[in-house]
Amino acid sequence: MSQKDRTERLLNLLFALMASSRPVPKHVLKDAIDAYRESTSDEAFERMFERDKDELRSMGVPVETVEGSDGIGGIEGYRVAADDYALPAVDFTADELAVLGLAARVWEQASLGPAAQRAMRKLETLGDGSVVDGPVGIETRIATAEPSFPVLLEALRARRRVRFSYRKPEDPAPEPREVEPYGVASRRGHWYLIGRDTNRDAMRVFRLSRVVGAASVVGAAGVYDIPAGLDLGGAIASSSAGRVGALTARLRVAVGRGNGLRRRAISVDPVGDGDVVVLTYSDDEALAAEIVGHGAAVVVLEPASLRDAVVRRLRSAAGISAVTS
Amino acid sequence: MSTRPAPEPAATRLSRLLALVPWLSANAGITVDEAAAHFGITAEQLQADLWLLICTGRPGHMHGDLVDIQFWDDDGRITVIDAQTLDRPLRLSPDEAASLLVALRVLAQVPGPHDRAALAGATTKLEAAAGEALRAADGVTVAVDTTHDPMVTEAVSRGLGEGRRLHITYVGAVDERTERDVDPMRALTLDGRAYLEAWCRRAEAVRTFRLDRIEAVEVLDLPAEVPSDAVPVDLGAGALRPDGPPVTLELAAEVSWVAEENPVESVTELADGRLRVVMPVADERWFVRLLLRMGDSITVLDRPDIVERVRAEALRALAAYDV
Repeated sequence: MSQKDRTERLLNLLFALMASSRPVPKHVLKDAIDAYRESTSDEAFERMFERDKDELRSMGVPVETVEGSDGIGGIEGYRVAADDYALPAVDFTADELAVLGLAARVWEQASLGPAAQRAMRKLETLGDGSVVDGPVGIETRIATAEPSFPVLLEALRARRRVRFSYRKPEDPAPEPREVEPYGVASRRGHWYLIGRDTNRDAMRVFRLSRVVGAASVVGAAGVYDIPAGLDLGGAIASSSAGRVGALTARLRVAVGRGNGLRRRAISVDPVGDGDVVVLTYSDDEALAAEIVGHGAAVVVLEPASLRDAVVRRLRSAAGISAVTS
Repeated sequence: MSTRPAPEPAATRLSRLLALVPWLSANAGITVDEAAAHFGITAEQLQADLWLLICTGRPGHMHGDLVDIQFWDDDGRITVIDAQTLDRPLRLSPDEAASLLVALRVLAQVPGPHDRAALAGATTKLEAAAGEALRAADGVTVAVDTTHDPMVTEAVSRGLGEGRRLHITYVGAVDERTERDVDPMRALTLDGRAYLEAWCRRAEAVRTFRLDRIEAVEVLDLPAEVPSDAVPVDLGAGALRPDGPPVTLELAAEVSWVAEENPVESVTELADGRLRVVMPVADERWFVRLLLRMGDSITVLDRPDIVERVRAEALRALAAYDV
């Protein structure tokens, strides 16, 4: 069966399902569509029909299965209601379509790019028909090369679980995970899945680049709720540094240097041939890494814990091994 | 094209056919070439799609049951005569709705001269049209870095909107403060981080400036004059990625993120969980800072001169501590 024949068969099935407001029984569909009528056996027809129905549904066509009213649980037939099928009529102004075009470009060369283009072709039919150029002087890009993206979006829509193989950074062997997705979030170019890990019965954050192979949707729809008030951005930010700190550091910074530190400073006071810079922070190791990058231009005055972290890192960079007893 | 591409899946083609009919109806009289370009396919592919469409329709396939599209006139124009039940597009799928809504919500947060009222209007209407697919869009968040000064954002947007020259105080990646006059070209936000792309009159070249590193900005009473041959940054090919001679490193497992955060040419996994990485280094000063930060969890294999610079700088810094 060629792709052309299969496309034609799917299209004819769709027309048949939309042609009547009443459910269409399976035997009627078999008679109505050439490829079904000419199938070699009943089993071959059944297989073809089931596959086609699934294919239409996976594209988002709302194929309804209507139960019979005879009380014995049989299926009366199938239908596609025109109002469920079609995009609701919304009038976009030319300016709004232009800004939508700008939005579609955000995913250019990313895995959501083709989806954004398909959406645009649909929305353009709702405007006044004119195709306008987007605004100039602004461009936004978000990278997604994550093959699991469409699967995660479908899981979020249907509230279904996903299953995937996940590799932790320090453990080369991937492990199977089953997760109820609460959301996906991107920060500084990386994508994360936030959800309840069903085996660990706890919320976890997964980095999508560490998912091995493709994720798949499993189980029934509507099996979980997303906790009310969940802050996805907060969930991933709290797993990394960058929060407002409760600790205070005093640093001696050479003139004209340590500009990133100076920007966050509470105070900068000239002392001798440099400045004393005071700032708040939350994590000794994170700030120490930044300070060490400035070499001799930034020296920690206090606290001792930060000073020790910096000295340890400098010794490591100088190739002086830690003293072992 | 010399090689024949793999045939597209039937679902991909069917999606296009379902979008094509209402789009052609809304754009009556468009030519085959224009429509093909808009859908990103060849004229031959479009004609094959149209031939397929006119062979389909309601059961019976009698006159009046079939899709009727006229597209064989010499002027190449397409007229949809009978769309049957395909006169409206299929509702948005979760990935289609999410792609646009997430992007609109990001655009609402980023600096730039774009039309905020149209943005709000488009977002409200699209949310209404998305139906159940809205649940997928609501599950996607893109964190936009907002550590830059709102005054900087405002001045940059004004410079772009009014086409005026800016005077900025900028601190680059290697901790150097400079003052320069720049003629703004575009507000760029790449993976959540905001930049100003401008013609820099000091460098006489196109430069990108991270907004969170602009310490001060003044909108000058002068028009921006971007040379007509100034080439904007190519946002497709790994935008803003530094280019430079390759250096070979070995990373300990706990700092494997260095290979994820930075553009690398190759990554090879070694038996003990370490990674061997080849990384382009555009600026050696930046690279020395990275190595100072990472200590002995990074080993440089092929640049003894850089290793020595790092060691000397670390010893000089240690001398300031009484250890």
